[in-house]
Amino acid sequence: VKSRTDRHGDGGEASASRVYRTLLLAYPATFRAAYGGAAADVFRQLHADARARGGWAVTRLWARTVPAVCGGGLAERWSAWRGARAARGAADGAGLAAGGRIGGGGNDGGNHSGRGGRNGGGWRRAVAALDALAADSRLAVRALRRRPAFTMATVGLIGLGVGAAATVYSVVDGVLLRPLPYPEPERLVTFAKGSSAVPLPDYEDWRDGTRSFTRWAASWDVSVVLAGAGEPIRIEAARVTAELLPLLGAHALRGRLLAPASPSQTATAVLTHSIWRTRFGADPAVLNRTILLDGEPFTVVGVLAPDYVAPESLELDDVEVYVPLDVGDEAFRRRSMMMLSVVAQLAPAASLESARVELSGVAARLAEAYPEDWRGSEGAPIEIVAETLTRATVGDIGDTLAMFLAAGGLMVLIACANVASLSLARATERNHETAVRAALGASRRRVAAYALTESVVLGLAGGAVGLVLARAGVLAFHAFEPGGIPRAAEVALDARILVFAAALSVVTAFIFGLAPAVSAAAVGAHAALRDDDRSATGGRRRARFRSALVVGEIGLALTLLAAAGVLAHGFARLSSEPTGFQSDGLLTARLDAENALPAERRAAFVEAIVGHMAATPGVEAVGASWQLPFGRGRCCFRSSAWALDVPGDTVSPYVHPVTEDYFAALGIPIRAGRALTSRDRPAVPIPPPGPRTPGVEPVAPDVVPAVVNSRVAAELWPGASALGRRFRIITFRSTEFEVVGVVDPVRHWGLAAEPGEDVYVPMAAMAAWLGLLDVAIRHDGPDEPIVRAIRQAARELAPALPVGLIERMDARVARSIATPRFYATLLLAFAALALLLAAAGVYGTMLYTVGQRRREFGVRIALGARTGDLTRLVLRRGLAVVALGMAAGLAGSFIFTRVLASLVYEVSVIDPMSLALAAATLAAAALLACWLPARRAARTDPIRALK
Amino acid sequence: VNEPRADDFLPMHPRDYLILFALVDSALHGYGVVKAVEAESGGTVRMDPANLYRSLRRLERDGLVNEVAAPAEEETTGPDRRRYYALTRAGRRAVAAEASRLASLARSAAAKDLIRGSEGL
Repeated sequence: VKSRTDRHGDGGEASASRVYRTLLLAYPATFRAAYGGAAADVFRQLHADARARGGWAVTRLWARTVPAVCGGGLAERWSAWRGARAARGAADGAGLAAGGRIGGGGNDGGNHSGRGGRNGGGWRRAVAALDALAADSRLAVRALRRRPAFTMATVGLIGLGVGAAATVYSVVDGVLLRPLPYPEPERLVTFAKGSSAVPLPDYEDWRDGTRSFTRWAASWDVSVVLAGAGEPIRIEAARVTAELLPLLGAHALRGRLLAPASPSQTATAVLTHSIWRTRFGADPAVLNRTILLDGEPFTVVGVLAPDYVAPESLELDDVEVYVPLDVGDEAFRRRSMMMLSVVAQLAPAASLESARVELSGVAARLAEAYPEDWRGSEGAPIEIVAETLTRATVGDIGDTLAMFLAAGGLMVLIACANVASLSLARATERNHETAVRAALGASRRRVAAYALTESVVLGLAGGAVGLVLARAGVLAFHAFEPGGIPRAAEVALDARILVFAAALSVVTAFIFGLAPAVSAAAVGAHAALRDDDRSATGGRRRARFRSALVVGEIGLALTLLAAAGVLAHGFARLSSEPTGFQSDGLLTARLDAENALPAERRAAFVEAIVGHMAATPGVEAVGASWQLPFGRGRCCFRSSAWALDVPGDTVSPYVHPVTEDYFAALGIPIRAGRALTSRDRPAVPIPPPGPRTPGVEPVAPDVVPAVVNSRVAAELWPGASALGRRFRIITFRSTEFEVVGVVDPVRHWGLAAEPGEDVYVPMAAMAAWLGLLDVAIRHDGPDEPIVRAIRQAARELAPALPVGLIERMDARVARSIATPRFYATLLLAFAALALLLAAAGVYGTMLYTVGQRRREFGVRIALGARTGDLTRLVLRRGLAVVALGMAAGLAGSFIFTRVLASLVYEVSVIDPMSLALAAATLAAAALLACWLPARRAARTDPIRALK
Repeated sequence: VNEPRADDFLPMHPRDYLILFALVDSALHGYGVVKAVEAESGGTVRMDPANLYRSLRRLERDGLVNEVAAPAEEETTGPDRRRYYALTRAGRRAVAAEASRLASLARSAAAKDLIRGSEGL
């Protein structure tokens, strides 16, 4: 435990140090090169100190550091620029003393002596303007410090907006925008035979029969036990053709890549950088070492460079060892063995469309030559499906991300509206100060420039806060992303995001700074100096503008709320779908019998471990299958089945080999007939597919009892009882199956997938096939003793057998809906923030209005108005604005939720429930935000108000 | 030798004074300076590391401090190495001059009973 804490601690300091280095980008590169490392090191220690102090110390440290680094960096850049200018000026021999500082009223420390200028006024004006800018900036910083509430609110708002947008943008950038990390990724194409992997002979026919592609490569991922490097572990390996790694731009860090297959080269292996580090201790002497993969020796010939990222879409993402694919091996040369992932590079002259035309010709020829393998169930030729590697990797995630990008944009807009509203209030307050400056001779341009400078300073500070928030957001994304988003590992903050965030905050600053700047410039000195808040001239136009901002905010917030409501509603429906079995009180354990046990011992092992577990106290029933519902990894297979006694359609059920108590353990109700029993085991198992001796038909059982689900029964024997009927499954050739029971359908593949057609056969009948084993244990009481019992039983019965994941079935079910839940939670978080911001906007505006009308309220109270009258007066005005905003929001929701149509499970695009709920929530928040200022108005003390 | 004169740096910015003061006893690296400044100022001055190095660089240019070799047990290569700074003779004189300037100000203040408990001055 201690070492984990320490590691965690180091990770925290390392990431703090990284964020600090990011902040240091505010400084010029020369400064960073000289002092960046040392400064980051100091900061790392300060951060560690702050963490040790606990509480708010870390927050206070960041709050101190971000503005300090940004300000210091800008000052440093400024003086570096001045230094360079001075040096150039001196070199020119001009050495002119520049003119005096203009306007602004900034006093300066005055250590910029030796200011130079080129002959001619252009440069001098430029320098003067920059001087004014510097003075304005200093003044702005000072002025903002004097108004901490306003400054913190504004910086926080911009930070929130920029942070939300930058987080979403880094996800979009990592997943969609950044090209895949391979040479010419847009020309990489991947293939499938229909919806399956590709048999080796077909791959060779495609390669040799087309001209649209220049380079071809194929891979086959296999799960193996690695020995010869510490304790044996199960890893993913891939048998690949020699072209694969070069095609993906991989380089060897040590040694070499795989050579083209030849008999002498088959036993070579290339390690990924990660397994070289973790299992081989980054030992440079690993080359020529022999490792064992499933007991076979392989010689390590190379280690991949760390920058190699395996493509997710070729099923290579967890692969740690690459070995050559032996294309000559007879075992691989069957056209029924669909195993390869194939990738090829488009020829320069070819396009994906032209290549598809060529491939359909190849498919037609194959359908002629091998009708058994290349025609589907209805006799139609199977297609060769080709799409770009990018498309295959990213899939349809684009729509989802577009929605989140839009949500991030809405957040920015809401934050902007809030900031503009705040700035307007500030501009009003500042009228007097502006008038004084104007009266003292500042031009309108200078006054406007100053107002704009203040906005930009705020924008930059907000941008810095936003970056910190975005950093936190990206960390949170990695922590909570449930694995449903492709390329998620590539999501990171990088220079592009920095540029994006900086641009966004400056643009934001300009947009919200513009209105107050213009209004500041428009104030006549005379009017403003005479004016006090008694008559509030020009206030009406501003009030209307502020109201418009609030309308916009409420509209946007309602849009987000409604969208979040639709997602949440969809998720709620999804999670309440019945699974078809009882997931509570069920433990699952994945056992790797396939490789650890020889085929002839597996049946006995299954019986032993199921019996052993069933005898464990607290266990009610134990069932096993190749794969239980909601599992990951390889499973049962799909085949064609047809009834023997009545002519009719075929069905394509999944075939599940199960043990006798499977239905009792999972709690799957039996509709008719009975469950399987030990008497149903056939005398001989069904022979597995494979090379056969010509002329010798292997021994197969004649009849095997089976259980079907009600969908299979209804398809094959519509309107009649299925019990006692016989059917055949194409994969099992001569064996017939007899229905002994009918069960209810189960959602095997996830809650969103409709239950399909399932056939359950006794596992003993398929003992000679694969050794996959997924055990379900229904029990009463705590999990812990059962988990121990499984491990102990496995150890005693088969010491070499790796026990895989043991988890509760409810966890499996929850994981299957983790991605929609993630989306719904994310959008709800956005919507909650939007709601908060909108409510704050309403509150601020109302409070401000009430403050402005204090005298009027005083007069009204003095003339006999009651508190109720005043409350109503203020509320009416506030609610009018809110109502307008809601109308705008309803319109926005209709548009935005259309995007959601593809994402949401069985919720219509316009979901009145969610919309009503969203509107009610927002109305309640807005009402509260109006009511608080209204109450304050009603409590106005006329004597003080009119004094 | 063309050493800078102590008086040129008076009055000194309080932060510069605190940095130089921190270096009076021994050479320190950045973190040490930050900590010493924080302690000496009673926790009111907490320097950001980057700004600290800006100040140190300026003081180095002015000839008041210079970078010195790290203690033997520290790793001394690479961009992330700790940088140690020590007072130069001019720096020592400057900090002393500033201290006596402050002391004389404090004495005048004490003479007018502005500050209490100042018998030691």
